[in-house]
Amino acid sequence: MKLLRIIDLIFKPSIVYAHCDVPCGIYDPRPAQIAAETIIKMVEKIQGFDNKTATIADRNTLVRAIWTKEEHARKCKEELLILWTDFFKPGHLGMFPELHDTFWKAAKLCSKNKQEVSMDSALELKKTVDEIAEMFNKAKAAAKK
Amino acid sequence: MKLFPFSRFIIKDKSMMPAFKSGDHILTFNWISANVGDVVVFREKFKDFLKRIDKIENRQAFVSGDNKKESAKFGPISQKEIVGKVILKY
Repeated sequence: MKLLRIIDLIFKPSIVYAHCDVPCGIYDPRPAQIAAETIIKMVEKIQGFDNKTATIADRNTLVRAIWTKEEHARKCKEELLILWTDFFKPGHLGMFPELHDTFWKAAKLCSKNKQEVSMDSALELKKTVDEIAEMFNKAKAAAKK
Repeated sequence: MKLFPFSRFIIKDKSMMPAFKSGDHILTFNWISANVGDVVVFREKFKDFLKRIDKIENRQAFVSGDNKKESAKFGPISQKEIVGKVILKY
C-alpha cells in the first residue's frame, strides 16, 4: 500500500467523484418508465393466476409477482420524486403549467397500483410517467439551446 | 477488454461515506464484470464517478451512493461505461 502511495506521488491518480446532490445535473426518467412497465407485466401475471388449478409453483410465482409490483411501484415513486424535486425548477412551470398536477397524479397512481391489481391503473401510471418523460426531454432540449 | 487491468483514483466528495471518504485513494481492477453490491468507477460525460451497484437489469446497472443524505441518483449505466471495480482502498 505504501508502494501505491509512492507511485501516486510520481504518477498522479485520476479524480473520481463520489458525487453529492448539488452540482450533479444527471437525471433520467427511464428508471421510472421501466418501473411502470414492470408493474404492467406483474398485473398481467397476477390477473392470469387461476386459483382453482394453481400448483405450489404457481402460488410461488403469484407471491413473487405481487412483491415485484409493490417494489416497482415504490421505486417508480422514488424516481419521480427525484425528478420532481431535483431536476425540475420553478422556471419550468412556464413551459409546463401542468407539471405539479402530473407529478401528483403519478405519485397517487403509484400508491393505487400497490393497493390494487388493475390493468387500467397500471396503464394510466405508464401513460402519466411517459408524459413526465416527455416534459423532461423537452426541458433538457430547451436547456441545450 | 479495457487497456489497463488496474487504475488508481483519489476520491472527491461524500456520497460514498462511511466506506469511502473524500481524499481516500482507491485501486480498481478493470478486467472483470461488476455485480450487485460492488463499488465501481464509471465514466459519465467525461467525468469518473464512484457508486455502488444496487441492481442489474437488462445488462444495465443501477447505482447509488451509500450516503443517502448526499447521494444523487444516476440513470442506468451500461457495463461498457464501467471503468473498473474497486478492489483496494489505500
